[in-house]
Parts: sequence; C-alpha cells; structure tokens
Amino acid sequence: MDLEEQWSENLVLKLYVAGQTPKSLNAIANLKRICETHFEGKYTLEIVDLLENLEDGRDDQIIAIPTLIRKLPPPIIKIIGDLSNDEKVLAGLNICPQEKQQE
Amino acid sequence: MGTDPSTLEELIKENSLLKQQLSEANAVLHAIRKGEVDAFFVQGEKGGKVYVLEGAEHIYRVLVEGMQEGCLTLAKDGTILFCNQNFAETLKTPLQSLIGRSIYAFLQPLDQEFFRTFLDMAKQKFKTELNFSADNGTSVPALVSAGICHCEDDTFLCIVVTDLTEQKRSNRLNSLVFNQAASAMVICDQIGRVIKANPAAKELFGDRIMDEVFDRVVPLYQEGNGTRVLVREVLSQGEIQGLEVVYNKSLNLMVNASYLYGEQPGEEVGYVITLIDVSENRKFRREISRLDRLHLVGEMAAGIGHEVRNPMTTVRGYLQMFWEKSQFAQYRESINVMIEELDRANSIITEFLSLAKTKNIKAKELNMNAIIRKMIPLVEAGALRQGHQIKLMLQDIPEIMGDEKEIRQCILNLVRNGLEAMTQPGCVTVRTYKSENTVVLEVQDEGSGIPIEVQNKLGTPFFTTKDQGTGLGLPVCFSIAKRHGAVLDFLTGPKGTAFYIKFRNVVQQQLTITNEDLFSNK
Repeated sequence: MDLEEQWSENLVLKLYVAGQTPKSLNAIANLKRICETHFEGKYTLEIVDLLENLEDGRDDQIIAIPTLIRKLPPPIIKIIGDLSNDEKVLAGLNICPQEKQQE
Repeated sequence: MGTDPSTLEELIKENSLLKQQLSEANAVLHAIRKGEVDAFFVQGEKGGKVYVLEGAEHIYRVLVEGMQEGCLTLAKDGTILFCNQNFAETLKTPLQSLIGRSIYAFLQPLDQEFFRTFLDMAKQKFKTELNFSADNGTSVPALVSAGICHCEDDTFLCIVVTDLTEQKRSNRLNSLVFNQAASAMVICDQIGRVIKANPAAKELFGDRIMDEVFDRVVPLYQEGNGTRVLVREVLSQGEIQGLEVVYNKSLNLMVNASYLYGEQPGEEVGYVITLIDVSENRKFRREISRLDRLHLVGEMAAGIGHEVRNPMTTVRGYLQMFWEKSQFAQYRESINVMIEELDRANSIITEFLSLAKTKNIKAKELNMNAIIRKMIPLVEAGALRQGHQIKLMLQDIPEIMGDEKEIRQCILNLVRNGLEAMTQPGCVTVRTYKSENTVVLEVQDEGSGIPIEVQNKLGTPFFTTKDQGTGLGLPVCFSIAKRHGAVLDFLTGPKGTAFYIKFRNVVQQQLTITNEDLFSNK
C-alpha cells in the first residue's frame, strides 16, 4: 500500500453532515481549512446534508455522521469524525501534507 | 457469508472484503468512542432516517431561547406545546401558564378564523400580521411567520412572532406628525411626482396634486422679478432652506426641501418639501416698516410744515395785493397762476401735516352711506369727463364713530386713485356692507392691478407711480384709518384693485387710538 501517493488529478471529496449538529459544523470548517491549506485550487468539495437529502446516504453506505469520502482519485476512502486532526485526515486520504510556498 | 469458496483465489478475495468491512466498522466504533460523531444514518424498511444524538440540538436551543422574537410550537388543535421566554414576555404572561393553553385564547375572533383556516387547509407556511390579546387585556400587534412541521406521524405548527408594538407606535407618531403639521408637507418620488401630501398641503393646493409632478401643478415664483421657481431644479444644486416664493400671486411661502435617501449609500428615493405660509409675517413686517417711515415723516412734517407755510402765506398776500392794483393789470394772468401754484403747494403741506396730527379726532356717530351720497357727486363730474363712471352699492350698515371730514378725505383719495388707475374707460364701485363686527368701505377699480414690487411700497409718503401724483393720498388714508381704529387693506389682480377699510361699529367700541399711538415707539 502506498503511504505517500502522488496525485496529478483533481481531488474530489464528499462530506456527509446532519444539519447543524456541532460535529457537522466542525467537520465543514475543518475540511475547508485543510483543503485551502493543502490543496488550494486542486479540489472539488461537495457537502451533503442528510437531513435534507436522505437518499444520498444509501449510495455511499453511510452509518456515522459526519463522514468524509474521497471519491477521486480511486480507491474510495472513508474518514469518520469531525476532521479536527489535520495529520490524521491527510494520512487517511493517503496524501502527503504540502508545505506552503513562501512568496 | 456468500457462496462457499471453491478456489484459494476466491477465499483471498473474500478475506480482503471482510477485512475492509471490519476496518470500517472499527473506524465507526472508534469515532463513537472518541465522541467524534453526533448523528447516525439508518436505512430502514421505509427508507433512510437520520438520528441525532442528544446535545446536537444545543445550538438550536440556544438560538430559540435567546432570540429577540417569540417562538412557539403548536399542536394541530392549537395547543401550545412549547414557547420561549420572549413570547411569554410579549403576551405579558408567565411562561409556565402558557404551555398547554390554546393559542385561540390569545387571538382576536377574526384572527382565530384565519388561524383555523390555515390549519384546515394544511398550507405549508404563511406570514401575516395578527393581533394577540395579552392576559391583561392589551392588544399586541405582531408579525407571525408560521410553518407546518411533519415529524414521524405527527404534525406541528412552528411559529415565530415579532412584536410590532413599538414599530406601530413609531409609525403612528410619524403619521401624526406628518398629518397634523401646520405646514404643508409633500413627498415626491425621484421624478418629482407627489406620492404623499399631508392635510395642510391638500388644503393649500387641493387633492389634485396627488400623483402629479409637483412643479407642474404648483407654480411658484420668485418675489420681485416673478421668475418661475422649479423646486426640483433648485434642489439639484443643494438643499433648500428658507426660500421665499409667491404662490397664486398673493401667498408668500417659505420653502424647505431635502432629498430622501434609501438604504444604499447615496441612493435618492425622492424628496420632501415643506411650505410655510409667511404671508401674515410679511404683511406684519411691511406694516412695521411703513409705520417706521410714517413716524419719520411725521417728525419731519411737524418740524418743517409750519416753517414753510409762513413765508408762503406772506407771498400769497403780496400777490393778492398786486392783483388788485391797476399798474399790475397786465400781469393778472401770471399772478393767478402763481396764486394757484401756491395754493397747490399749500394743500400738499396740509396733506403732509395731516400725517403728523397729534390731536384726537373729533369722533361722533355718523353714517358712512350718507357721507358717500353727499360727496360722490363732487367727483362724478370729473370721472364722466374721463369716460369713467362711479357706481354705488351701499348696503344697510350701522353707525360708526368717526371724524366726518377725515372720512370724506379718505373716500375722496381712494376714489381718485381708483379713477386714475384705469387707463381705459371703466367703473369705480363704492360699496359698504357689514362683515362680522365691522362696517366695510370698499372702493374697487377696473385697472390692471398693482405690481408686486409696488405693493410693498404702498402707503409710503411721496411714493407714487403717477407723473403728477404727490404720493400722499394713500399714506393719508392709512393714517386716517389708524386714527379711527380701522384696518385698511387691499386685494389686487389683473382685473382691478379693491381697497377696503374695516371700521368697528359704534356698538363694539369707542375710538381710543390717538395719533400719538401712531407715531410713538410703542
């Protein structure tokens, strides 16, 4: 299994939340921060509120909320929780953290 | 488990899948133990459902309890299942006594019907203004925003209530200020069309101004030069403050105007115009100015009048003597002219001195109609020669207290002025009539009216528009009116001018005003 996977295509992420529960709100905020820090301009994020769209949860076999799914690049990866630990999230997505370029 | 593996390859594949599922299950368990999740998605027979753990609604609870609006949940029959503190305060009712009561107990009959209809029709939501009745009997106007909420097998009504009491009170006050203002107030839109006018404005300009462009239906002019004033044009150069204009040729108005701004910075949504009638003020200032001038003239007249008359009397005496002597017979015509000129000068001085009279008038009861009938024939002949006529319209009037000689002088001066004002053959009408507690003498001509710039100077000694005029006729009339406690005023227009004097009748008041009051600084 590759621990440091180099990716050349756009990252496609899908975050499942349940309305405005505290964990859902945290997950949204954390994920946006991580994406802007490490994947700026190279990601697509979709946030699905299962309270509004119940059918969507069945497709990805969601159990606990919030759950983050990496759709692309394959394989599909699931990360459960509020995404508060950046390193754990990046490791879960099999992505090496990018150092920010100093301008 | 699936079908029995028949080969090692299938076994390895199934093992891998099971490991993946186990890993995912462990991840879920781990997340639950660490408290990293607060909701679950469950796929049941009737479809998916989301269950939220306790504590996840905390944010909503804080919002509902702390919000500045009332919030309540009703059952289908209108029973209050939940309400926040704000709603209880709006109804001035303890919160505990609201839960379980019917909402209809707090609604007025008409609003109850509306509520029932809404629930019966099972509409999803509505927003409207209603009136709640507090427990203490007060009515609370409120904006109600409601929505139906379906929860499993139950239906609830969720409502947000915004108390409009303060807003209504403020609107009412604003409305009172606008509607009860003594000054005319008009609100125009961006193109100058009147969208709102208070009663004072409608009384001044009529209802016709509504929805019309203000500058078109309310012609305003600058005083003096008569230039048309367009409020919108003037306002475009800056806020208008204290601009004095003339409306309808006789009304002096002071105009203030400023833009009305919307919510965006610099967004002009229209402008408001305030018009204050300052005609009385102007009249008062004119009268004060005139009295000041008369006072000055009076002082001058008293000083020089007699000094000039004495040498004139001496000269006249000598001229009369020369006229009688035969050696000056050839100069009699010239001597006559000289005597006539001296007499003319003397009459001017007499008129001049009359402005400075300090003695009380010799007041007695007299009937003005009788005076008019007696003296009009004296001027009628002259009028007829010029192609004019004099018409009398004398009503039955009570007696007044006055000096007959002065009244005659006044009538004579007014009639003469009226005749001289008509450049074409016309008619001077002399009227007398009763008006409230006064007796009115009116002299109306058919001239072309008095220009605005001349009106301000009327009554000023020696001011005249006539080539041969002395400019003392009207000042004398003003001072005679004043001595009689009467008011002299005029109305003028393109079809003529009417001067009128209002005398108090003898039943109302004995004359007490003296000349000293006229020329003193009281």
